[in-house]
Amino acid sequence: MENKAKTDCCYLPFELITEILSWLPAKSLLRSACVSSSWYMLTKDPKFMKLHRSRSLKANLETHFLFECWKSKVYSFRATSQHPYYHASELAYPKDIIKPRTMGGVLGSCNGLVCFHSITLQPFYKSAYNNNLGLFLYNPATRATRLIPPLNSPMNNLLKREVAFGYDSVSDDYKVLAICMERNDRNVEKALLYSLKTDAWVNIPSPPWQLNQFCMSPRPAILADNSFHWMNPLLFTGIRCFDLFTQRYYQIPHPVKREINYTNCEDDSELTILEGQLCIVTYTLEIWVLNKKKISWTRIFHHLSGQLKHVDFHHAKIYNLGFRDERRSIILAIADRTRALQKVFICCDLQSKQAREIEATNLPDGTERIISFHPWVDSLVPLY
Amino acid sequence: MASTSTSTLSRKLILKSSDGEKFEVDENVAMQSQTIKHMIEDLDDINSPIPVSIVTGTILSKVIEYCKKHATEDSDSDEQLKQWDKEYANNMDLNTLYYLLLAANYMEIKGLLELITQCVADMIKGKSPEEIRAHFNIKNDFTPQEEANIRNENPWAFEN
Repeated sequence: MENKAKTDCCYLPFELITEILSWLPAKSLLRSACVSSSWYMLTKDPKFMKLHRSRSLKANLETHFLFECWKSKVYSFRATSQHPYYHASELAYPKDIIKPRTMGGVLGSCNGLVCFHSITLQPFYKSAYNNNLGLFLYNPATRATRLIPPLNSPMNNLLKREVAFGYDSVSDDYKVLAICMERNDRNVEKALLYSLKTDAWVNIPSPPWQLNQFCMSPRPAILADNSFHWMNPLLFTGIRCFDLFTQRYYQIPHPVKREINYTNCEDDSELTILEGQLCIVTYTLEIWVLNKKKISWTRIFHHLSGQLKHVDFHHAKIYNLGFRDERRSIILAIADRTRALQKVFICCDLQSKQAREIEATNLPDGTERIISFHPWVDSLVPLY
Repeated sequence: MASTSTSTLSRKLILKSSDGEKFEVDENVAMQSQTIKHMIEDLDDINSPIPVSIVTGTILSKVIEYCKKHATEDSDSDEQLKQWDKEYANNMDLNTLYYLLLAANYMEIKGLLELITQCVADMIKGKSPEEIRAHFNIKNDFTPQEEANIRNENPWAFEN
């Protein structure tokens, strides 16, 4: 067959062209949609979108994005053990959606879809209870946006709420869980679940636990094993979970068994995710990973030396940026609450049990005040 | 062109290309191809050559080169293996890549298929629709109006 020396791939079956296209970034794919009608159809095919998503995850395991609140900028980047902001580039961001007089930011990110929330602040003298929560979904790779319909009952206390965004792999649907206090009905919690497929909120049973009290910046829910996970605010008492498909609430025990110290009742350890598995980073810089059966925890790192004395993990938000250097190290981003959320990047060497700070050089302009880190992947996930 | 591996533990198989060239390879090298793995299961006489009917000798030797590298699990780290893959693919011309792609697809070698498709994708990543059509020899079946409509769905994707 090589005798027909023709450099073209008209011999390539469409199946192989599909394989090739599945490796392209979303932007290139949207551009190649006008190559021919079969290519156009491919970019609209849900099966192809799934293949593309799994390929992006495979090719860009280390992509994360960060959100900058004060200037409303979103950057995608991947951290290496040498440069915390390697390949940082600004993502297009629908600035008109977060309006003035709102507080907002990234609520969660999943499969390339980002859920933003914005809270319209009413002047205090009008009503402290009339604040509305606006939610919208955005895919930075395709620039598609979708507004989530408002909750039919406004929350009466925005400081007592739990909102989480994630993907339910069983029903192949994106969902938002909102747990809030009902207006004029003190201390009664109400839970609602939004589905992207039906584009509607439904009432679901409320959780068997009380919401956290007055948390100004609630920690985001961690999605793993088709469930949302939150740290129980009481020290070392466990992890609260919600299964997105069965809609069941349950708890799993905390790996660290210690006497409760009532002088500091807030659990400072942080839930994160490591290659899809739930993970806990404690303020003594131990890293624990939950096993697949969800029964026991394995400690994969504990800090031996006192090199990091200047970093206060007690009041820090900890983000796990994943394995590096062929799984020999883990990169963490620490946001010190006492120092205006200043970011520190830590590289934990799993073999030597040493942790060292990575100097944050080559930082993109205007990103000194990063609010949060979320995993992100370039994907075609549609929002229509 | 025969295998130079001296492993005594592994059985040897003979692969025969479409143009009659024969290659002696270790069984664990050939087993990376799902197609050959299934053929061996149904084979009575392991010593008779296994026909790889649509793959020429030139291409088959390249396939075997890849399978040999990936059959030996020792010494090389993931990083080194990735580097080897990269150099292996970059040394091919486009024509060879396409035949290799067809061979990897027919022989069901997942790793090689992913390597080559990713390599071709990198080549067309920054290209315009016109360049891609020329590259793949694809006929534009849109009317100018239809094409303009599709461009207008995501005009930003055409900016640099």
